[in-house]
Amino acid sequence: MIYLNRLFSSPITLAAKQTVVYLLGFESRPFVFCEIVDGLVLRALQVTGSQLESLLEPKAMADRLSWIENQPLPVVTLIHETGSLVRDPNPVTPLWKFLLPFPWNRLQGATSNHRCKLEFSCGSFQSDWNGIISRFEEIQNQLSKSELGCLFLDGPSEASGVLLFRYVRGQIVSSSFLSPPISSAQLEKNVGTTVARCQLDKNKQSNLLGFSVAHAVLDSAIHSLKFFSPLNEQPQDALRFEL
Amino acid sequence: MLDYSNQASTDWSQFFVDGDSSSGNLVIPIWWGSHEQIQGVRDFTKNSRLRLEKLLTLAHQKKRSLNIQLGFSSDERSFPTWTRERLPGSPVPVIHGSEPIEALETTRAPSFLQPAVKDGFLQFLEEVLGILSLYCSPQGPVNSIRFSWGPLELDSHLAETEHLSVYFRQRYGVIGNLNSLYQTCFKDFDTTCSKMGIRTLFDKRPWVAAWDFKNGRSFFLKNVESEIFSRVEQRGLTSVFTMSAGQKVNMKQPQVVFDDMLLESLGEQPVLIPLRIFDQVIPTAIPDFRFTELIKLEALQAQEKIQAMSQWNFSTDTRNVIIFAQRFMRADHATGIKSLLEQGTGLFFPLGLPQWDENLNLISWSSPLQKAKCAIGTEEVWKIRTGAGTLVYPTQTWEKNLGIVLRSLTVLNGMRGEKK
Repeated sequence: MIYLNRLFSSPITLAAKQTVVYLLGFESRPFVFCEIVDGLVLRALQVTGSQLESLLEPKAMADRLSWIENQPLPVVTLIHETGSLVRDPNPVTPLWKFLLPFPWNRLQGATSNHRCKLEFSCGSFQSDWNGIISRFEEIQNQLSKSELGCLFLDGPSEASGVLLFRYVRGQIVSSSFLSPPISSAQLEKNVGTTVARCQLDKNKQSNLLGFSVAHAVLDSAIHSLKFFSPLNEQPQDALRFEL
Repeated sequence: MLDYSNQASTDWSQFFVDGDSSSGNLVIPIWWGSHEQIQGVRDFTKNSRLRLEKLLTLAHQKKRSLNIQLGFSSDERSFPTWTRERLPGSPVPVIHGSEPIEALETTRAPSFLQPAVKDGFLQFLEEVLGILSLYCSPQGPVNSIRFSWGPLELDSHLAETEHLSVYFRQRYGVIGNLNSLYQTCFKDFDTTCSKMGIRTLFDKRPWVAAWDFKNGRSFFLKNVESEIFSRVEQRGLTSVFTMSAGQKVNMKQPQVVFDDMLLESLGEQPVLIPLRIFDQVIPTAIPDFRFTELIKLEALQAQEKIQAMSQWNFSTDTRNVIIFAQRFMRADHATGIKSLLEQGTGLFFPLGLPQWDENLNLISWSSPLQKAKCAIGTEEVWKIRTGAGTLVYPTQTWEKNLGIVLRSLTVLNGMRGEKK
């Protein structure tokens, strides 16, 4: 247990989140993120993978719709209800929100918070994004079957690492990023609990573009899922013996 | 960092390295919420995870120095559960600080305006300080105790009460002085402090109103701080105790500094939030917020350090600096900048020189004789030599456009070249 606790001493870094964005090929699907608060255009950012560029237009709400129409890129608008920036007091943070940097982690998909509304100017962007969220949910469901979920990032050497998630009753209670990554064999030997592992690996998806990369990488991660129990754990039937 | 109340006490020793002084001071956060599950019942001995004295003894045995962290942060354990049940709480921003640009979120935190919350915390603090005073260096492991208000500094409710009225009376004396500064016609300070009154101030002079609003807000916390300090003095801990509220961040050599009067900023890598009153964003803060995000992103892309003016310590080791400020600048900041100029720093103001302080007094940067028009690269600028330093600003104020940081860095490099 001491070993497990020590694994969770380094938080998930921005660099780790950027690696996830890189591995999912998000840089080939740029978009504009617009945020509305109290009826004011708080920010408009051009998002290309992990790169953000602040746009100073549109200045007024009245200009917003015509500005969106003239944008060459898909525009995703997050509209907060007036006075509703208050965070959910008991938020259950899904896996993808841990993994992705701002503003990717604000694209709620179908399970949108009732206090804010998400508008997509492009239908295909929205459906592709929902496909990504559902794949992340599948990974989350699988990882949460064990106490420790590991997501290995097979990125550029300096950004490779493993993201660790500790689950209690199916919810993530702590997260961590280890770089350089710990090996599966070390985990199996030392961690003393059930472990599920999978891998994000972009290498095989070099011929794809846009969100197809993310779909393929996440599908591959789902197929790469492996589970193991601690080596010192007794088999279930070890205590069964005939009187 | 050893978050002891989150670890089994049997695991604590793993965090100490025997006799290894090179491993530095270990940061120990002490959360009020962990030690006081039931109102007025504080646990430092029963639950094995909360045995603070055992932890301090262990650190002493292992010869490790400790930096104690007290106060508040975004951590849920900053406040006991019973304080959260006392509604309404105050909206405070949620600050993670892990990304250059973050989602704008607020949470409800228990308010120090409620006597039970304030008194409860002071009693907890008294007990903690009593324990820590027994383990202070050189006899004990406690090297420093740092108190931080954290996001509570940004609690806008602190300024929405009679405290703001008291603050206005202290600052302006008579209502006529406030009216002449803001060009308003309030009858008394109480009407000024109503919702409508504060909105009027922000409509008339947003920058000055933001200055007053922020000072009015910290006016209440300063009163609480004096109560904290008296307890620290009683325990003889003044030499190790520091209050981080309103203190400067010790960041070396920021290259880009921005005026953050209409924004809230926290942390070394400043997290920005547009100023909010009555749970709503001030419309006049939005253009500042968006422009500041733009320069922040551009500075980060150019790998230059950026810092909010309110957190800049005007240190003497500062190299040439770009300052994004408009017509107003705090009088104390103008004084700090002038002292930097005396010491030889070069300063570039791409948006022009600030002209007025919070009292609408003119800021005097130089005499007209010292001012000369010249070209740095392709940019035409005014150059003023004051002391050993140089102050530069464009002859025509630049538009707030994309690429403004890179353009400013070119001028700054030109200034360096000239100096050589």
